[in-house]
Amino acid sequence: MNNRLDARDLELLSAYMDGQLSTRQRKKLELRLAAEVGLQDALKDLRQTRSLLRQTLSLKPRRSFMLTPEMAGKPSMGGEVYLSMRLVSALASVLFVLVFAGDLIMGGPRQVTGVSLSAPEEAAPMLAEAGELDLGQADSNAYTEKSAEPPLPTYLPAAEEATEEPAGFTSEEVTDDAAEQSTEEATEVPPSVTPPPKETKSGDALSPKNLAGSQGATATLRSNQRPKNQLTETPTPKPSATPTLTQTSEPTATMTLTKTPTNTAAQESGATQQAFVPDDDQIQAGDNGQQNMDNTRLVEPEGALQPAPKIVTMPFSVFRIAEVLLAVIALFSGGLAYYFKKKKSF
Amino acid sequence: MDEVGLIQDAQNGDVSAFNRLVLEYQTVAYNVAYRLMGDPFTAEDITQDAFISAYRNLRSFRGGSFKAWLLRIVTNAGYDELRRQKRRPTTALEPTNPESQEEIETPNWLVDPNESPEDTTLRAELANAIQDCLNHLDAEFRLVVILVDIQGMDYREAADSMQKPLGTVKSRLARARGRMQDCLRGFGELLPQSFRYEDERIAQ
Repeated sequence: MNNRLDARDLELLSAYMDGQLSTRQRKKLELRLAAEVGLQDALKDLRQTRSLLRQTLSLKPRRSFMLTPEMAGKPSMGGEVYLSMRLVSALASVLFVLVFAGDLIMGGPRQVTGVSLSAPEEAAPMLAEAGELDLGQADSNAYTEKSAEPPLPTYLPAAEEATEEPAGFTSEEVTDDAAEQSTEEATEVPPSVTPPPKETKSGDALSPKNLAGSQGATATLRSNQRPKNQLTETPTPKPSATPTLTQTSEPTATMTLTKTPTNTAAQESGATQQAFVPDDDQIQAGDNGQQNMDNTRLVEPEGALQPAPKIVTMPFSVFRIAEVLLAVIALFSGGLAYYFKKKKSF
Repeated sequence: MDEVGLIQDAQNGDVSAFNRLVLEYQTVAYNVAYRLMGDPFTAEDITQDAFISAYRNLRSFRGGSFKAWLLRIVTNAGYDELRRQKRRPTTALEPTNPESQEEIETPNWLVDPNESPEDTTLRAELANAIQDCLNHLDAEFRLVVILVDIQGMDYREAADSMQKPLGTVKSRLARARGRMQDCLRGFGELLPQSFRYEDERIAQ
């Protein structure tokens, strides 16, 4: 019988029996019923089926299901917890969307920058440390190890002069050699490893003959490598000396660690950038290493070469932290709500 | 019976108030469980668990039809049991043909040759036939037939209990009735004369 009835007609007839059709649907169906005998038979069969089902005996339970105090126990808070968690999850989701939208609207960089007040205090002991090391040991190894430290925001004017002291190497030659070495070392030598002997071409500058100058050069290297590398836009008196110094030291670690923050400082502070530009007097003042060290200690208090403000970079913005927190809350409370729903069969 | 008052008292921890609700609804709850499961013992377990769960979570009841809310707990418990049985299937007690060892698919095997007070009554035969057909329906179709045609709930109440839209209840009920009709035709001679279908009466 049902094979002759499509699903739509079956649904119409079923709803018609139960009085669930609208007036318009009912009248339309009644017109069809008056015309179609097959539809009438189908309606009769459906009524018969419903009548059969309604004749089903209502079984009397064989026992009572009343609860004893032991069975009842204490009313669970599961229902309330479920509703609460559902509410918390919904609220956290809405807040997450709002914060995320606010984050998108505000846009801008994710990092929050600020000036660390402790920058000068941090710079001073490092300068002192540099001087001690260079005076105590004219060893390129010591220099190399120290060069991996964060750079000092101080410019020592004797750098170029001292760099040129190791005569016999033109800046181009040294640059080429150092470039090759730096390429090799960048892949082979970790930052803290002592550089190979060949590396010390500028170490020739550390020969006994030029020991005094080399001490100055070393001191200058440590304190000057960042300004020279970072201030590429500012013409310096002898720019060719810059790569020589930098690449004689540990190239990879030094370059990576020093460039990023200081460039930011240079971009943000024109005054600071100017302070790093050496003038001729400052360059000429660095004829020997000891003088350089003296200059180092003299230049700093003058204020012309004040250390750059330290940039504090925060990995997460407030928005990002809020987003993460809200997402965690939404997921956690949603999971709890789901657990209670499943457990309690609401 | 002040149902709302009893519910409020039960929500405050009054077990005796809740037990009055149990007395009111235990028959319908048990019948739904029995029709859904087809086994009186499982139905009893489900009904008892459902009442315990209802009492412990009574605070989540936010008004409306208490009967629909209670039957929702019963049917959810029944669905859970059906899923559990599906994961751990048991051997059916259906007869097999001794020659071919295949299951006998006709419902004639339900006819018990031994006379018993229950089996001698036509209504008992009818009840068995209906229950057998119900058992062969999918759970969602079975439930709507139980709620609307056997328990006499209206569409709205059934929709609340099933947590389904009204249109879903309508379409499922129509299809379930069609399938029940096809199934019950197989019990032709078991059905009382007055309940036999038109074409069967004509054939006789």
